[in-house]
Amino acid sequence: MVSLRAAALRVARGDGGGGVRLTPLELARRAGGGDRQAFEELVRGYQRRVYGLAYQYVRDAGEAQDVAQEIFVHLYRNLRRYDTARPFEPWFWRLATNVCLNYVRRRVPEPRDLPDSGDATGDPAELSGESALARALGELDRAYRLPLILHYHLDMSLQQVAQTMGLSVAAVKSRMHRGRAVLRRTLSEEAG
Amino acid sequence: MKQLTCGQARPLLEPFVDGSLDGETAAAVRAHLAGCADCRNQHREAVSIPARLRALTAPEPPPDLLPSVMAAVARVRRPRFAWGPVILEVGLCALIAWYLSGLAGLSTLFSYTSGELTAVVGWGLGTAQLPTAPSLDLLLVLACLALVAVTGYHLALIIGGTSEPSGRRAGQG
Ligand SMILES: [Zn+2]
Repeated sequence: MVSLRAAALRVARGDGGGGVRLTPLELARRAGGGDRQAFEELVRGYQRRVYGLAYQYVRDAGEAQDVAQEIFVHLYRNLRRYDTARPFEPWFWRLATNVCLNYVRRRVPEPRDLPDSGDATGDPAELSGESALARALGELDRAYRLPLILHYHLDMSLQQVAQTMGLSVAAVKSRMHRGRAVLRRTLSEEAG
Repeated sequence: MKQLTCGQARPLLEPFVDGSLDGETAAAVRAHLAGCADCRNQHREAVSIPARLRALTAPEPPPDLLPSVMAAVARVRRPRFAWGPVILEVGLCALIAWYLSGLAGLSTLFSYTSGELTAVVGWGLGTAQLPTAPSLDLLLVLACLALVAVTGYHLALIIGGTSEPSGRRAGQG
């Protein structure tokens, strides 16, 4: 619930006009009716988190911008079909993560199960000074990676992660435990 | 209390850290950690990971993200519901329906129209005079033509979408 409120406040703060505070849901409703200014407010309010999500997926600033733009264009096309009786955030994040997954699927096969070989000197992640954790997260199976990104990076509650992924809270917890266990093993192997 | 092996204790570390184990299992994990340095190291790592995940950074979104998104959606064609044509269409349909029932139904109109058509053909063949159409029939023809035109325009709106120019702003002083 915290992140919902935070997003609403962020959206409201981005309002450069008369200081009218609109929730993301209200903005989505207006944007769905063709209000470009409402859509712009929506993008302003979500761009940081959407870009952050895209970056966690592609780990490249330029590509993250492409993915973020694709997410917002996709949102724009689909807003008319959004049922405003339902909460906006789970619907939106589900759409956003689907765009990320499709993008990564189109791009390259998932770099998972790669042996951590010693010739990692040419690894771009290493060169850019990226943390071992970020790299390990990038190599994690996406079934485990997504809930970790949504909960810890995007600050969603377990309930929201569950709604976004269409899973039960218990299933989300179990995936997060397993994902964290894989990260722990990877990191402690690297350290040891 | 049950004794845990390392293999049993390791997968329990994350739920243990989250406090989601039942009391007995949590006690068993605690007892195992007390006597196993390897698992204590793993536990330390497990404790640190949530905070480190929260601290993962992403660069700031580039300043041109918003303008480029708005430029991209300005090119998106989205069909819009146009009320103007709908009102006109409904009005014209009502007029035509009222007029047809005024003539006691479609069958009357059909025989009437076919009679007139025959007369027109006869006029074309030179065997009859050009029939003079009553003014109300002209009104019907005009209404039908207008309905066709409005519907065509409406269809064009739906198919083509309307991408209003994004830079349209009220002129200010
Ligand atoms: Zn042990």
